Amino acid sequence: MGLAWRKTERVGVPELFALLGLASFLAARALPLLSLVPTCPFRAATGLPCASCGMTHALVHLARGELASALRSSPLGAALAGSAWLYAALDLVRCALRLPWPLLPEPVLRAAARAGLAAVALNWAWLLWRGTA
Amino acid sequence: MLARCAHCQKTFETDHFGVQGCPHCGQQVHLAEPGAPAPQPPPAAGGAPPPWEGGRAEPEAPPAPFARRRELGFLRSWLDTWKLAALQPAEFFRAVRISDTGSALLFGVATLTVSSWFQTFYTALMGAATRGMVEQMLRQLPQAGEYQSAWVLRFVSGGSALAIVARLAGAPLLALAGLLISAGVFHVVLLALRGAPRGFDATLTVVGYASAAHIIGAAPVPLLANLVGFVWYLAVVAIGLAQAQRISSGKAWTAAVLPFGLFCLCCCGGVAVPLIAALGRH
Repeated sequence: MGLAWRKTERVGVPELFALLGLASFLAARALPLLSLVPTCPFRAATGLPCASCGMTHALVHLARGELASALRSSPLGAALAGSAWLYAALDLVRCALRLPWPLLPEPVLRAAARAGLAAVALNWAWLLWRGTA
Repeated sequence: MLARCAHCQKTFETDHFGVQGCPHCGQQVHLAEPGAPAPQPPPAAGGAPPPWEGGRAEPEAPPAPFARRRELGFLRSWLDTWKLAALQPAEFFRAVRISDTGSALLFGVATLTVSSWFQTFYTALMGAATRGMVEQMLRQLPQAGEYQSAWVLRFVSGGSALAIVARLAGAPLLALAGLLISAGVFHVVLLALRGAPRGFDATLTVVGYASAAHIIGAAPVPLLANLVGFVWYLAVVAIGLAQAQRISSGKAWTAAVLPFGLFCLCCCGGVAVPLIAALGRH
Protein backbone atom coordinates (compact mmCIF):
# COMPACT_ATOMS: atom_id res chain seq x y z
CA MET A 1 0.00 0.00 0.00
CA GLY A 2 2.37 2.69 -1.23
CA LEU A 3 1.94 6.29 -2.23
CA ALA A 4 1.72 6.86 -5.98
CA TRP A 5 2.19 10.10 -7.88
CA ARG A 6 0.29 11.37 -10.89
CA LYS A 7 1.35 14.07 -13.30
CA THR A 8 -1.59 16.47 -13.60
CA GLU A 9 -2.61 19.49 -15.59
CA ARG A 10 -1.19 22.73 -14.26
CA VAL A 11 -4.62 23.89 -13.13
CA GLY A 12 -7.32 21.33 -12.39
CA VAL A 13 -9.89 20.40 -9.77
CA PRO A 14 -7.30 20.22 -6.91
CA GLU A 15 -6.33 23.82 -7.66
CA LEU A 16 -9.99 24.90 -7.62
CA PHE A 17 -10.25 23.44 -4.12
CA ALA A 18 -7.05 25.26 -3.17
CA LEU A 19 -8.48 28.55 -4.46
CA LEU A 20 -11.66 27.88 -2.50
CA GLY A 21 -9.58 27.42 0.67
CA LEU A 22 -7.69 30.63 -0.07
CA ALA A 23 -10.95 32.50 -0.74
CA SER A 24 -12.36 31.32 2.61
CA PHE A 25 -9.31 32.78 4.37
CA LEU A 26 -9.58 36.11 2.54
CA ALA A 27 -13.34 36.27 3.18
CA ALA A 28 -12.82 35.55 6.88
CA ARG A 29 -10.22 38.33 7.07
CA ALA A 30 -11.91 40.94 4.90
CA LEU A 31 -15.68 40.44 5.03
CA PRO A 32 -18.04 40.91 8.01
CA LEU A 33 -19.01 37.23 7.82
CA LEU A 34 -20.42 37.07 11.34
CA SER A 35 -23.05 39.69 10.54
CA LEU A 36 -23.92 38.03 7.22
CA VAL A 37 -24.69 34.50 8.42
CA PRO A 38 -28.19 33.82 9.76
CA THR A 39 -29.13 32.66 13.24
CA CYS A 40 -29.18 28.86 13.25
CA PRO A 41 -32.88 27.90 12.93
CA PHE A 42 -32.30 24.63 14.79
CA ARG A 43 -30.75 26.43 17.78
CA ALA A 44 -33.44 29.12 17.69
CA ALA A 45 -36.20 26.52 17.71
CA THR A 46 -34.77 23.97 20.14
CA GLY A 47 -32.14 25.83 22.11
CA LEU A 48 -29.60 23.17 21.10
CA PRO A 49 -26.71 23.65 18.68
CA CYS A 50 -26.76 21.85 15.32
CA ALA A 51 -23.79 19.86 13.97
CA SER A 52 -22.39 22.85 12.10
CA CYS A 53 -23.01 25.51 14.75
CA GLY A 54 -20.01 27.72 15.49
CA MET A 55 -18.13 26.92 12.29
CA THR A 56 -18.27 30.46 10.90
CA HIS A 57 -17.09 31.84 14.25
CA ALA A 58 -14.26 29.28 14.26
CA LEU A 59 -13.27 30.27 10.70
CA VAL A 60 -13.21 33.99 11.52
CA HIS A 61 -11.37 33.55 14.86
CA LEU A 62 -8.74 31.31 13.27
CA ALA A 63 -8.19 33.75 10.39
CA ARG A 64 -7.48 36.41 13.03
CA GLY A 65 -5.05 34.11 14.83
CA GLU A 66 -7.34 33.54 17.84
CA LEU A 67 -6.83 29.79 18.14
CA ALA A 68 -8.40 29.31 21.58
CA SER A 69 -11.58 31.18 20.58
CA ALA A 70 -11.73 29.21 17.32
CA LEU A 71 -11.48 25.89 19.16
CA ARG A 72 -14.07 27.01 21.69
CA SER A 73 -16.52 27.96 18.91
CA SER A 74 -16.19 24.66 17.05
CA PRO A 75 -13.19 22.29 17.22
CA LEU A 76 -14.19 20.73 13.90
CA GLY A 77 -14.67 24.12 12.27
CA ALA A 78 -11.20 25.19 13.40
CA ALA A 79 -9.67 21.92 12.16
CA LEU A 80 -11.47 22.17 8.81
CA ALA A 81 -10.44 25.79 8.28
CA GLY A 82 -6.82 25.08 9.24
CA SER A 83 -6.69 22.01 6.99
CA ALA A 84 -8.23 23.90 4.06
CA TRP A 85 -5.68 26.72 4.32
CA LEU A 86 -2.77 24.31 4.74
CA TYR A 87 -3.98 22.35 1.72
CA ALA A 88 -4.32 25.56 -0.29
CA ALA A 89 -0.77 26.62 0.53
CA LEU A 90 0.72 23.18 -0.21
CA ASP A 91 -1.16 22.78 -3.47
CA LEU A 92 -0.26 26.23 -4.75
CA VAL A 93 3.42 25.44 -4.02
CA ARG A 94 3.05 22.05 -5.71
CA CYS A 95 1.47 23.73 -8.71
CA ALA A 96 4.14 26.43 -8.94
CA LEU A 97 6.94 23.83 -8.77
CA ARG A 98 5.09 21.56 -11.24
CA LEU A 99 5.31 18.63 -8.84
CA PRO A 100 3.07 15.59 -9.42
CA TRP A 101 -0.12 15.01 -7.45
CA PRO A 102 0.11 12.38 -4.68
CA LEU A 103 -2.39 9.54 -5.13
CA LEU A 104 -3.36 8.13 -1.75
CA PRO A 105 -4.33 4.44 -1.63
CA GLU A 106 -8.07 3.75 -1.38
CA PRO A 107 -7.89 2.24 2.16
CA VAL A 108 -6.20 5.41 3.44
CA LEU A 109 -8.87 7.60 1.82
CA ARG A 110 -11.60 5.38 3.24
CA ALA A 111 -10.14 5.54 6.74
CA ALA A 112 -9.84 9.33 6.46
CA ALA A 113 -13.47 9.62 5.31
CA ARG A 114 -14.69 7.48 8.21
CA ALA A 115 -12.58 9.51 10.64
CA GLY A 116 -14.11 12.67 9.18
CA LEU A 117 -17.67 11.43 9.71
CA ALA A 118 -16.78 10.34 13.24
CA ALA A 119 -15.31 13.81 13.85
CA VAL A 120 -18.63 15.40 12.79
CA ALA A 121 -20.47 13.22 15.32
CA LEU A 122 -17.93 13.89 18.10
CA ASN A 123 -17.95 17.62 17.41
CA TRP A 124 -21.74 17.70 17.61
CA ALA A 125 -21.69 15.69 20.86
CA TRP A 126 -19.17 18.17 22.28
CA LEU A 127 -21.27 21.16 21.22
CA LEU A 128 -24.37 19.60 22.79
CA TRP A 129 -22.49 18.81 26.02
CA ARG A 130 -21.06 22.31 26.19
CA GLY A 131 -24.46 23.83 25.41
CA THR A 132 -26.24 21.91 28.13
CA ALA A 133 -23.46 21.75 30.74
CA MET B 1 -34.48 -2.74 -33.91
CA LEU B 2 -33.90 0.26 -31.68
CA ALA B 3 -30.32 1.51 -31.27
CA ARG B 4 -28.85 4.26 -29.09
CA CYS B 5 -26.15 6.58 -30.37
CA ALA B 6 -23.11 6.57 -28.07
CA HIS B 7 -22.42 10.23 -28.91
CA CYS B 8 -25.74 12.09 -28.63
CA GLN B 9 -27.55 9.36 -26.62
CA LYS B 10 -30.60 9.56 -28.90
CA THR B 11 -32.32 6.42 -30.18
CA PHE B 12 -33.02 5.51 -33.79
CA GLU B 13 -34.43 2.60 -35.79
CA THR B 14 -32.06 0.43 -37.80
CA ASP B 15 -32.28 -2.98 -39.48
CA HIS B 16 -28.61 -4.02 -39.46
CA PHE B 17 -25.53 -4.32 -37.22
CA GLY B 18 -22.09 -2.85 -37.86
CA VAL B 19 -20.85 0.69 -38.40
CA GLN B 20 -23.45 3.25 -39.45
CA GLY B 21 -24.18 6.95 -39.14
CA CYS B 22 -26.46 8.33 -36.43
CA PRO B 23 -29.41 10.11 -38.11
CA HIS B 24 -29.46 12.71 -35.29
CA CYS B 25 -25.84 13.80 -34.92
CA GLY B 26 -24.16 12.18 -37.91
CA GLN B 27 -21.49 10.44 -35.81
CA GLN B 28 -20.35 6.92 -36.67
CA VAL B 29 -21.92 4.31 -34.39
CA HIS B 30 -20.74 0.72 -34.07
CA LEU B 31 -23.55 -1.73 -33.30
CA ALA B 32 -21.95 -5.03 -32.34
CA GLU B 33 -23.75 -8.23 -33.32
CA PRO B 34 -25.09 -10.22 -30.35
CA GLY B 35 -22.57 -12.92 -29.44
CA ALA B 36 -19.73 -11.21 -31.26
CA PRO B 37 -16.56 -10.68 -29.18
CA ALA B 38 -16.40 -7.24 -27.58
CA PRO B 39 -13.87 -4.88 -29.18
CA GLN B 40 -10.61 -4.84 -27.24
CA PRO B 41 -10.01 -1.49 -25.56
CA PRO B 42 -6.51 -0.03 -25.56
CA PRO B 43 -4.47 -0.97 -22.49
CA ALA B 44 -4.70 1.53 -19.63
CA ALA B 45 -1.75 3.85 -19.03
CA GLY B 46 1.04 2.16 -17.14
CA GLY B 47 -0.45 -1.27 -17.81
CA ALA B 48 -2.62 -1.12 -14.70
CA PRO B 49 -6.29 -1.88 -15.28
CA PRO B 50 -8.86 0.47 -13.77
CA PRO B 51 -10.01 -0.79 -10.39
CA TRP B 52 -13.75 -0.94 -11.06
CA GLU B 53 -13.92 -3.85 -13.48
CA GLY B 54 -11.75 -6.47 -11.84
CA GLY B 55 -9.01 -6.24 -14.44
CA ARG B 56 -11.13 -5.60 -17.55
CA ALA B 57 -10.89 -2.06 -18.85
CA GLU B 58 -14.09 -0.28 -19.89
CA PRO B 59 -14.09 1.22 -23.37
CA GLU B 60 -13.95 5.00 -23.31
CA ALA B 61 -17.39 6.42 -22.69
CA PRO B 62 -18.91 9.03 -24.99
CA PRO B 63 -18.74 12.65 -23.84
CA ALA B 64 -21.87 14.49 -22.75
CA PRO B 65 -23.34 16.72 -25.47
CA PHE B 66 -22.21 19.73 -23.40
CA ALA B 67 -18.60 18.58 -23.73
CA ARG B 68 -19.06 19.01 -27.51
CA ARG B 69 -20.37 22.58 -27.13
CA ARG B 70 -17.85 24.00 -29.62
CA GLU B 71 -19.22 21.68 -32.25
CA LEU B 72 -22.94 21.78 -31.33
CA GLY B 73 -23.20 25.33 -30.03
CA PHE B 74 -23.51 26.31 -26.36
CA LEU B 75 -27.29 26.52 -26.13
CA ARG B 76 -28.07 23.34 -28.07
CA SER B 77 -25.44 21.30 -26.22
CA TRP B 78 -26.72 22.65 -22.86
CA LEU B 79 -30.31 21.77 -23.78
CA ASP B 80 -29.39 18.25 -25.00
CA THR B 81 -27.42 17.63 -21.81
CA TRP B 82 -30.22 19.06 -19.65
CA LYS B 83 -32.74 16.64 -21.19
CA LEU B 84 -30.47 13.65 -20.63
CA ALA B 85 -29.33 14.52 -17.10
CA ALA B 86 -32.68 15.67 -15.74
CA LEU B 87 -35.05 13.32 -17.55
CA GLN B 88 -32.97 10.18 -18.25
CA PRO B 89 -30.37 10.25 -15.46
CA ALA B 90 -29.86 6.49 -15.24
CA GLU B 91 -29.00 6.04 -18.93
CA PHE B 92 -27.01 9.27 -19.08
CA PHE B 93 -24.81 8.74 -16.03
CA ARG B 94 -24.25 5.08 -16.89
CA ALA B 95 -22.73 6.06 -20.22
CA VAL B 96 -21.21 9.49 -19.73
CA ARG B 97 -17.47 10.09 -19.80
CA ILE B 98 -16.21 10.96 -16.32
CA SER B 99 -12.77 12.28 -17.20
CA ASP B 100 -14.10 15.60 -18.55
CA THR B 101 -14.91 17.20 -15.19
CA GLY B 102 -14.32 20.71 -16.56
CA SER B 103 -17.39 20.45 -18.80
CA ALA B 104 -19.52 19.09 -15.95
CA LEU B 105 -18.42 21.96 -13.69
CA LEU B 106 -19.06 24.56 -16.39
CA PHE B 107 -22.51 23.08 -17.02
CA GLY B 108 -23.31 23.22 -13.30
CA VAL B 109 -22.00 26.77 -12.89
CA ALA B 110 -23.95 28.00 -15.94
CA THR B 111 -27.17 26.33 -14.78
CA LEU B 112 -26.95 27.46 -11.15
CA THR B 113 -25.97 30.99 -12.18
CA VAL B 114 -28.95 31.39 -14.52
CA SER B 115 -31.27 29.96 -11.88
CA SER B 116 -29.82 32.30 -9.24
CA TRP B 117 -30.18 35.35 -11.52
CA PHE B 118 -33.85 34.59 -12.10
CA GLN B 119 -34.41 34.09 -8.36
CA THR B 120 -32.72 37.42 -7.61
CA PHE B 121 -34.94 39.09 -10.21
CA TYR B 122 -38.12 37.58 -8.73
CA THR B 123 -37.01 38.42 -5.20
CA ALA B 124 -36.50 42.02 -6.22
CA LEU B 125 -39.94 42.09 -7.88
CA MET B 126 -41.92 40.23 -5.23
CA GLY B 127 -39.83 40.93 -2.15
CA ALA B 128 -42.52 42.79 -0.20
CA ALA B 129 -45.16 40.12 -0.77
CA THR B 130 -42.77 37.28 0.11
CA ARG B 131 -41.62 39.15 3.21
CA GLY B 132 -45.22 39.49 4.41
CA MET B 133 -45.85 35.78 3.87
CA VAL B 134 -42.66 34.76 5.70
CA GLU B 135 -43.35 37.20 8.56
CA GLN B 136 -46.77 35.60 9.00
CA MET B 137 -45.17 32.13 9.07
CA LEU B 138 -42.51 33.23 11.56
CA ARG B 139 -45.10 34.58 13.96
CA GLN B 140 -46.22 30.96 14.48
CA LEU B 141 -42.83 30.05 15.93
CA PRO B 142 -42.31 29.97 19.71
CA GLN B 143 -38.91 31.67 19.33
CA ALA B 144 -40.08 34.06 16.62
CA GLY B 145 -37.84 36.79 17.99
CA GLU B 146 -34.76 34.82 16.95
CA TYR B 147 -35.93 34.83 13.33
CA GLN B 148 -37.18 38.38 13.31
CA SER B 149 -33.53 39.34 13.82
CA ALA B 150 -33.63 40.64 10.26
CA TRP B 151 -31.47 38.23 8.32
CA VAL B 152 -34.23 35.96 7.02
CA LEU B 153 -36.52 38.88 6.28
CA ARG B 154 -33.73 40.82 4.61
CA PHE B 155 -32.92 37.75 2.51
CA VAL B 156 -36.47 37.07 1.30
CA SER B 157 -37.19 40.72 0.59
CA GLY B 158 -34.11 41.05 -1.60
CA GLY B 159 -32.22 43.68 0.41
CA SER B 160 -30.78 46.87 -1.04
CA ALA B 161 -29.87 47.53 -4.67
CA LEU B 162 -26.24 46.92 -3.75
CA ALA B 163 -27.14 43.53 -2.27
CA ILE B 164 -28.96 42.61 -5.49
CA VAL B 165 -25.95 43.58 -7.61
CA ALA B 166 -23.67 41.61 -5.26
CA ARG B 167 -25.91 38.55 -5.59
CA LEU B 168 -25.91 38.80 -9.38
CA ALA B 169 -22.14 39.26 -9.59
CA GLY B 170 -21.33 36.64 -6.96
CA ALA B 171 -23.66 33.96 -8.37
CA PRO B 172 -21.06 32.17 -10.57
CA LEU B 173 -18.50 32.05 -7.75
CA LEU B 174 -21.03 30.80 -5.22
CA ALA B 175 -22.21 28.21 -7.77
CA LEU B 176 -18.65 26.95 -8.27
CA ALA B 177 -18.01 26.82 -4.52
CA GLY B 178 -21.32 25.03 -3.94
CA LEU B 179 -20.58 22.42 -6.59
CA LEU B 180 -17.09 21.68 -5.27
CA ILE B 181 -18.18 21.52 -1.63
CA SER B 182 -21.24 19.34 -2.28
CA ALA B 183 -19.20 16.98 -4.50
CA GLY B 184 -16.59 16.76 -1.72
CA VAL B 185 -19.21 15.99 0.93
CA PHE B 186 -20.94 13.34 -1.22
CA HIS B 187 -17.56 11.76 -1.96
CA VAL B 188 -16.55 11.55 1.69
CA VAL B 189 -19.75 9.62 2.47
CA LEU B 190 -19.22 7.41 -0.60
CA LEU B 191 -15.66 6.65 0.49
CA ALA B 192 -16.84 5.74 3.99
CA LEU B 193 -19.39 3.35 2.45
CA ARG B 194 -16.86 1.81 0.02
CA GLY B 195 -18.89 3.36 -2.75
CA ALA B 196 -16.39 5.31 -4.82
CA PRO B 197 -14.65 2.78 -7.08
CA ARG B 198 -14.39 5.24 -9.98
CA GLY B 199 -12.98 8.09 -7.94
CA PHE B 200 -13.77 11.75 -7.40
CA ASP B 201 -14.11 12.53 -11.11
CA ALA B 202 -17.27 10.41 -11.30
CA THR B 203 -18.78 12.15 -8.26
CA LEU B 204 -17.94 15.60 -9.59
CA THR B 205 -19.36 14.74 -13.02
CA VAL B 206 -22.64 13.64 -11.41
CA VAL B 207 -22.89 16.73 -9.21
CA GLY B 208 -22.14 19.06 -12.14
CA TYR B 209 -24.67 17.58 -14.56
CA ALA B 210 -27.28 16.89 -11.84
CA SER B 211 -27.46 20.65 -11.33
CA ALA B 212 -29.71 20.57 -14.39
CA ALA B 213 -32.58 20.01 -11.94
CA HIS B 214 -31.93 23.39 -10.28
CA ILE B 215 -33.09 25.23 -13.39
CA ILE B 216 -36.60 24.82 -12.02
CA GLY B 217 -35.55 27.49 -9.52
CA ALA B 218 -35.83 29.92 -12.43
CA ALA B 219 -39.62 29.43 -12.38
CA PRO B 220 -41.52 32.42 -10.95
CA VAL B 221 -42.74 30.57 -7.85
CA PRO B 222 -40.84 31.90 -4.82
CA LEU B 223 -39.61 29.27 -2.31
CA LEU B 224 -41.63 26.37 -3.82
CA ALA B 225 -39.64 26.27 -7.08
CA ASN B 226 -36.41 25.96 -5.12
CA LEU B 227 -37.84 23.21 -2.96
CA VAL B 228 -38.99 21.20 -5.98
CA GLY B 229 -35.64 21.77 -7.70
CA PHE B 230 -33.78 20.63 -4.61
CA VAL B 231 -35.75 17.37 -4.28
CA TRP B 232 -35.35 16.69 -7.99
CA TYR B 233 -31.60 17.40 -7.70
CA LEU B 234 -31.22 14.94 -4.81
CA ALA B 235 -33.00 12.23 -6.82
CA VAL B 236 -30.80 12.85 -9.88
CA VAL B 237 -27.66 12.82 -7.71
CA ALA B 238 -28.65 9.50 -6.10
CA ILE B 239 -29.47 7.86 -9.45
CA GLY B 240 -26.37 9.37 -11.03
CA LEU B 241 -24.00 8.24 -8.27
CA ALA B 242 -25.35 4.68 -8.48
CA GLN B 243 -24.76 4.59 -12.24
CA ALA B 244 -21.54 6.57 -12.54
CA GLN B 245 -19.81 4.91 -9.58
CA ARG B 246 -21.29 1.46 -10.45
CA ILE B 247 -22.59 1.02 -6.89
CA SER B 248 -25.85 -0.12 -5.33
CA SER B 249 -28.80 2.27 -5.09
CA GLY B 250 -28.75 1.96 -1.29
CA LYS B 251 -25.22 3.36 -1.03
CA ALA B 252 -25.95 6.08 -3.58
CA TRP B 253 -29.15 7.22 -1.83
CA THR B 254 -27.38 7.18 1.55
CA ALA B 255 -24.56 9.34 0.17
CA ALA B 256 -27.04 11.76 -1.42
CA VAL B 257 -29.47 12.04 1.46
CA LEU B 258 -27.27 11.77 4.58
CA PRO B 259 -25.47 15.14 4.22
CA PHE B 260 -28.71 16.92 3.38
CA GLY B 261 -30.45 15.07 6.18
CA LEU B 262 -27.98 16.70 8.57
CA PHE B 263 -28.39 20.03 6.79
CA CYS B 264 -32.18 19.78 7.00
CA LEU B 265 -31.97 18.82 10.65
CA CYS B 266 -30.21 22.13 11.10
CA CYS B 267 -32.23 24.36 8.80
CA CYS B 268 -35.54 22.74 7.84
CA GLY B 269 -35.93 20.78 11.07
CA GLY B 270 -35.46 23.89 13.15
CA VAL B 271 -38.39 25.47 11.36
CA ALA B 272 -40.53 22.35 10.88
CA VAL B 273 -40.53 21.11 14.50
CA PRO B 274 -42.02 24.25 16.08
CA LEU B 275 -44.39 24.72 13.14
CA ILE B 276 -45.74 21.19 13.60
CA ALA B 277 -45.95 21.79 17.34
CA ALA B 278 -47.78 25.08 16.76
CA LEU B 279 -50.21 23.41 14.34
CA GLY B 280 -50.80 20.62 16.87
CA ARG B 281 -51.86 23.15 19.49
CA HIS B 282 -54.62 24.56 17.22
